[in-house]
Parts: sequence; C-alpha cells; structure tokens
Amino acid sequence: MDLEPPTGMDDTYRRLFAPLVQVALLMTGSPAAAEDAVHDVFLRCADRLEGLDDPPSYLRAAVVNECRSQHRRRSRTVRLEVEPQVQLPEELVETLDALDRLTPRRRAAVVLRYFVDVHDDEIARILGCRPATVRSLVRRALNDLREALR
Amino acid sequence: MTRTPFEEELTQRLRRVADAAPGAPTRPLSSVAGARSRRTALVLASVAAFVALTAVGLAVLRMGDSDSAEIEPRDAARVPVSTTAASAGDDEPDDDPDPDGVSLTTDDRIPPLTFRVGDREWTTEGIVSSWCGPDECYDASVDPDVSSPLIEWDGANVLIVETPFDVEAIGVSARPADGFAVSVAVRVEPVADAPRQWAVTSRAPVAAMSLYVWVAVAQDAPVSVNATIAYGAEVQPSAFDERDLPPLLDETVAASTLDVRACDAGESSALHIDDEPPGRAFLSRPWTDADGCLVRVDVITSYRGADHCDWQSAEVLTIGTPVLTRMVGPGDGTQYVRDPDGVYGDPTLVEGFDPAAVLPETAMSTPFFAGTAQVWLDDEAAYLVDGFGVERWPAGTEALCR
Repeated sequence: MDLEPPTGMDDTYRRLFAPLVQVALLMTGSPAAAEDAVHDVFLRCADRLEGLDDPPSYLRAAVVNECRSQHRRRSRTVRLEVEPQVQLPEELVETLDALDRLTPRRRAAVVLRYFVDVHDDEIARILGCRPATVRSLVRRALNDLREALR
Repeated sequence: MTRTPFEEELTQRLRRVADAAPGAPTRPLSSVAGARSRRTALVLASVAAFVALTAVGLAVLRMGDSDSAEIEPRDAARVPVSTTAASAGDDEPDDDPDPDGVSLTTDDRIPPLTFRVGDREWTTEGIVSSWCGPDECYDASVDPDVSSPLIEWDGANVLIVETPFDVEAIGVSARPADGFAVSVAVRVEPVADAPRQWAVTSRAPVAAMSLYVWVAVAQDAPVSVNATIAYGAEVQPSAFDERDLPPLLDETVAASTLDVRACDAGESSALHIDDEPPGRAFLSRPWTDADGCLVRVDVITSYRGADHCDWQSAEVLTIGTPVLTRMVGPGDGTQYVRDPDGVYGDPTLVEGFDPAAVLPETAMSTPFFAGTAQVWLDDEAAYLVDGFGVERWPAGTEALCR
C-alpha cells in the first residue's frame, strides 16, 4: 500500500492540522490520540481531497468519525489502557471527564454544535442520522453534562 | 438560535479545552508505519501483555479469498495481537509467546455482513463481542458501531441478512433510534435453500432504529473456540415522509394482535365497563390494558375531529388525571392532540406532534394500550410507544367546529 501523500499535501496538513486536532481532542480527550486521528484521516483521504468542494468540512467529518471508530476500538481494551491525562486546569479536566461519560454520538453532536458551530442538518449528515435524532442527542447530552458539571 | 446560559458556558469550556490541543503536528504526514504515538504503542503493548498473561484461547477469522471464513489458529509471527486496525499493529513487535497457539480476533479481519432490501444492499464489518477459548471466556462488552451503514427499510419489504460464513446461530434485535430501552420484535427466519441468508420481517412500518445482528461461530479443532460476532446498522425508513406515515396505532393491527374484550372486574376498577358513561361507539380506537381488557371511557377516551369540519385527520386523547381516575366533568382529565395536518389551526399542536419521537427519560408508563402501543406520559405530551417507534401527541385542546 502506497502511503506517501501527494505533493503539497504536507502543507495542507500543516494548515488544517490545528482546527482539526482541536475537534479531535474534544472527541478523544487525548492530544496524542487526537493527532493520531487527524494524521490517519489525512493519509486515508489524501488522494480524494482535490476533487472536493469543501475539503475542510470533509476532513472534519472524517476526523469526527475516526474518533468514534477509535472509541469503538479502544472500548474493547478499556481495561488495559492507561492514558496520560491532558495537562489542564481542574475546571477543564472536569469538562473532559464530563465529555468522556457521553456516548460517542452524543459527544460528537455536542462538539459539532457547540464548538464547531455547525447546523443540525450537517451534524446529521456527519453522524448518519436524522436531524431530529441530532436534536435528541444534543438534548440528552446537555442533560448529562448539566448533571456532571453542576 | 438563542442559547441558554448553560449552552454558552459549555461553548466556552469546549473552546478552552480545545486551546490545549497541539498547534502543529509533531510528525510529518508522510510518516506512518512506526509513527503512531507512544501512547498508542503502549496500549498495544499492554494488550499483548494481557493476552500473554491470561492465556485466553484466542482465534482469528481470516478474510481470505475464500468466502468461507472459519476460525483458524493463527500464525503468531504474523498476526498482530491487537484489537485495533491491522495497520496499527504492523509496527508492533509480536514476539510474545502465545501459549495456546491461537490469536485474538481482530475486527478488521472479519468478513462483512450484507443487508439487502430489494435490489439494494449494504455491508458492514463486525466486531467480536465475546469469545471463549480452551481456558476461559472473554466479553468485550461493546455494542457494534451503528453509524454505518444507514440502511433504508420501511418494513414493507423483507430485509435479508446474509452472513459471510456459516454460523451456529443468529440473533437480530433492534431498538428505536437513540437507544430507548424497548427491544423491538423482529422475526428472523432462515431463507430456504440459502443457508447463509436470513429473512427479517416486521409487522409494521418501522421508524428510525438501530439494528443489531449477532452471530455465533464455533470451531472444534485444533482448539475449541466459540465466538460471538456483532454487526450493527442504523435503519432509515425508506421514502420517509412524516405526513405519509401510516398511523402508529393502526386499528387493523390492534384487531389482529390483541384479543380485545370486556373483562370481569370489580365496580371500582377502570376495567369495569358495565356502567360506563355513553360514548364508546364514538371512540376512535379501543383502549385496553396490557391483556386486551377494555378500559372505561371515562378513564381514557379518544375521538377524531369533527366530520363536518373535515377534521377527521385529527384525534384527541383524554386521560383522567391522575391516571386511572374516572373523569366526571371538564378539568378532570388532560387532553393530548394528534393534529399532524394542523386542521385545528394551532401551530403548537403541529410542532409538538412527532411521529418518530424519542421517549423522554422523564416519561412514565401508563397501563393503557391501543393495540400493541402503550401510552406514556410526561408533563408536556402523551407518547404512544410500540416496538417500532414512539409517537408524540402534545398536550393541548382542540378547536371547536362551528
């Protein structure tokens, strides 16, 4: 398998890295896992980006779903993992802990709506569900977060 | 859209967390093998150590050229001991001794399962959810990821599930979208003359839901291994149009699935219909308990909109408050209105109606049924819940037809 990215891709990678890894960090809670996710998505999508209307949006969706896949894979080894914690103030650790308790879909819905600030229709497209389901995911996530953060 | 103070605070918190993300990559894009973070490598090493220590009987499903995928012992030198993707394990040294001579199944090595509706088909990869080796069992305790595929099925057609290998047993379960904890009854039957195909049927149009398929596989030699593989999908009702959805509470379904009857009950019982007030003839549907026993019309009643105003598409449900109370006069009950077409002219009723709702966690069940659908209530609405969906009727009042 040829894993070398097309010429110029490294520049695109560096340019889009920061906003994508922020989303991935909120999805995974781990800077290393976030970078892994963004890195893997770029490698996988490298040869598709040229023909896209909106590569950043496409990559963002791919990163969110990659993080969800990571969660699925990690959940099978959860008893074995010892993840280093992000060095953050206590309040923000509390935020990450609260996010960690959400299901991956609820977490993604919250991150996309309140951090990325995209419309429910777009969130639905990314998550592969209906907008009504997004509203429900967000509502339930907010209930969980409100409980965890009060 | 206006946000609440909590939503604003949450946004600020997310931004502050995101600020902790690395601002630039720590490695170039072109590096991949061997470039996984040290954290990931540690995790993989932990997995390998765990496998060696517990001596779980492990198996691998090989996705080879053949369409027959059976559990085979692995070559310990080639198969990564990992539950992550194969690429993640490529750089993982695999020199741990493997006492059982078999390996952990990896999800990326399981041949995909196929869902088929008519001439359309979708595939999905599976994950091993549990397995038992010679010495002990291991439960991964994980649901399949249902984010993909999004299969389109409305229940009118048969959904064919085709397994990529012979299986010992198969189970299909479903639950309405968003995980509401009511299992959905779908019928699964083997397709004649097609040993790897299974027909899934429903008795009613389906709403959006998550579908899970579990298959059991086994091998006796060279080691005895049993494994369960889970597959997931999300169901999108095909040609979904809320206005075209047939009523959740189809009288024909009610008649065919329940033995609706008057039952002997004490005079104070809600099931004592001998002396109930008049009006049963005008009910839009019979209301019963879980056993099909009719409930008095002054305990729960429903009627359709007036014919002469052409409001038949609307329906008003009235339930004595508190539940099981006999209503004597106005104010003794709470009204819930199903008005998808807005014939009553109240936009809040249209907005509050949801044919594919999610049952709120605050909703409470009632003993009332119409057909197989049970009534649940919260402060804002009634929810008619059956195995294939939840319909929300907002609390409100109908208009007067003059």
